[in-house]
Amino acid sequence: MALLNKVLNIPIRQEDVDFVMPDVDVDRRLGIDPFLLYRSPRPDFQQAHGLLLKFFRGVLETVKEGNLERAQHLLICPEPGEIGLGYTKHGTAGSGIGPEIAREIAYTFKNSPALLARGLRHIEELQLICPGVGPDRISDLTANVLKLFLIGYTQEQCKSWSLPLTKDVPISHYFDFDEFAWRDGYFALPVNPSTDGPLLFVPRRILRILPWINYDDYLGEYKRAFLKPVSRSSSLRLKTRSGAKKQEEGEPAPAPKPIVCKVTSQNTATLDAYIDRKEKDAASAEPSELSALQDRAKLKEHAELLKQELAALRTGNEDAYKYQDLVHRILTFCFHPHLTDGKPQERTHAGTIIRDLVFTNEGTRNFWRYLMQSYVNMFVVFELKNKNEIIGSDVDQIATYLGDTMGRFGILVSRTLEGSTSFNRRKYIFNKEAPRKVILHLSDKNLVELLDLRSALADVTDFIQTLYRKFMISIE
Amino acid sequence: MTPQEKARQTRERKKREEEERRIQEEKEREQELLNLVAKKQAFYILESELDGLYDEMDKLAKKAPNEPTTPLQLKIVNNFIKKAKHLMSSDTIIDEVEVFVPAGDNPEYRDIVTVLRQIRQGLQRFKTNNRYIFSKDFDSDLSDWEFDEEPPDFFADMNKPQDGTTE
Repeated sequence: MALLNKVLNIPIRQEDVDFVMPDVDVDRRLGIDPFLLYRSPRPDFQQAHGLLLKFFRGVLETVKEGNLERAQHLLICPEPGEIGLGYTKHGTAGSGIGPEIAREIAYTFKNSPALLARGLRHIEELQLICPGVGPDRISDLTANVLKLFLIGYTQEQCKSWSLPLTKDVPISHYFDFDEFAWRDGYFALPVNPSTDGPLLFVPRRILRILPWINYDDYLGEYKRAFLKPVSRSSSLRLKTRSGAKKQEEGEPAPAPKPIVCKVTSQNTATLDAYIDRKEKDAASAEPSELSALQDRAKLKEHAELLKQELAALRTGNEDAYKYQDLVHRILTFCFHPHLTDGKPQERTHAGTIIRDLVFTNEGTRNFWRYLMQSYVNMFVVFELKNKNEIIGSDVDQIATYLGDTMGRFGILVSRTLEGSTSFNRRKYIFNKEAPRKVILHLSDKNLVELLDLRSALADVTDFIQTLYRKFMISIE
Repeated sequence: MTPQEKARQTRERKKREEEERRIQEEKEREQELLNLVAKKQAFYILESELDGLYDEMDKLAKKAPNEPTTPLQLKIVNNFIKKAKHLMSSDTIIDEVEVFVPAGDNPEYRDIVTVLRQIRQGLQRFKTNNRYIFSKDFDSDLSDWEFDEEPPDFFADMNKPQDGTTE
């Protein structure tokens, strides 16, 4: 495996960043799950999901108009080699959606007035109505339609992590929604050193091994709706070939995918029931973690490196940027996928430069959703102080920043938690402000605890939740 | 002023001061008794509330110990815990009992039952340590008084916001 960071000799690792580090030689065995865009609390991700549906509505309009050739043309997508995802065993060249599959999709809708009238609520439903469409093709279609979104994301990440961008890198087959057509263009992007082609980064939090809506999961719904068990003596029972596995008593023979897809496309009520169930359970849809990020030995090794870096940093202005960069990496490592896309920023308050990290709250667990609902925290601000002694005005600085835009929950991060000044000031702010503002305080010791938890594959949410509870009880 | 008149004035002044002292002591004693009555009433309120609350939570804990409480149940339990801590503020064990802060995850029924049991035992200790107000002597002392006012609400100043410390 030749990860981009090793090939380009960049001092960041997969554990530090929000996106999948492209393997420049082989596709990573994951796919984009559009459902994770749908269920994300981020407006830009939800907008991206909206664009996918807009694309498909356009395709269906051309089918309704009888222009099947154009519909097929719109549906043809090559495998997006730029993102380096998929199930290809060797190399990065997969199949994408070719003319045959595009034709199959177009004709499925043409031949089903019910489906044509209904449209799609999620493009992953294509897996349930077209035999030739599987998870890989869903991912390919999504990546192609949302290529401009991924280009913007890649450029943003390169800026955050100071990765090299090359001007005027050619990108083929991106979708232009203004002209409603596929286009080619040139963009500033990182380049794959193996192929000299463009690289596009994909957020880790929209990747899964299998999409949330998938064929295997749907089969249960299908069986409940259409198949009934038959007894051994029934003439309806399929005769098994010799040597074939014997059916269990009462269990129906598995229906082949073409039949399932055909029946589903004619009976959309079952499809709707399945989709309703999956949408209701959206909170359980979580991204698949990369296998490298589940290897305890590797995680522990990485945590130890971060701890050593933290211990070596001096307090004061000289190491302030290094401290910001390191805390950024630590928090990304520890809090993904609950808090993602951390952006470092600087602002000035009364002549003092203040360094923040602003993370997006993905609302993946109850505690983070609670912050969204109770404190309006679509984002979580971490204010960084590369010093030991915290004075009242340090706490006031983060308090003035919290509000309707940034939420009313924030975290102050400094080197130590000496003295009672921080707590007293935070308690005062809590009691004085209406609506209430909560500020927690993390020190180097807490960051080390978080690193230990993460490297043991424990969820750090419990740690922050406990800290929050202790604070709320102590001010009662 | 003649020495006799001076002496008479001094006697009258002393008499007045004694009378004022007596009235002041009576008022203080009256207030003390009213506060004790309030405390006793608070005890009975909590005891009655605990009976119902404990039975309900215990039933639910037996059925589904791992299930989280509802937001309404949690609000009722937390209010009860605050009142219990206010009444038994000198009890070190009850002092360690904390309200539940859900923060997205409500506590389980079995945890609620554990805390309510602690409070039940705290109330038993409270009764033992305050024998006087539950005794006939207290009732007898009360009968000697005619109160002008009702006993205060023991829990009235419980929810006053803390100012926190500025610096």
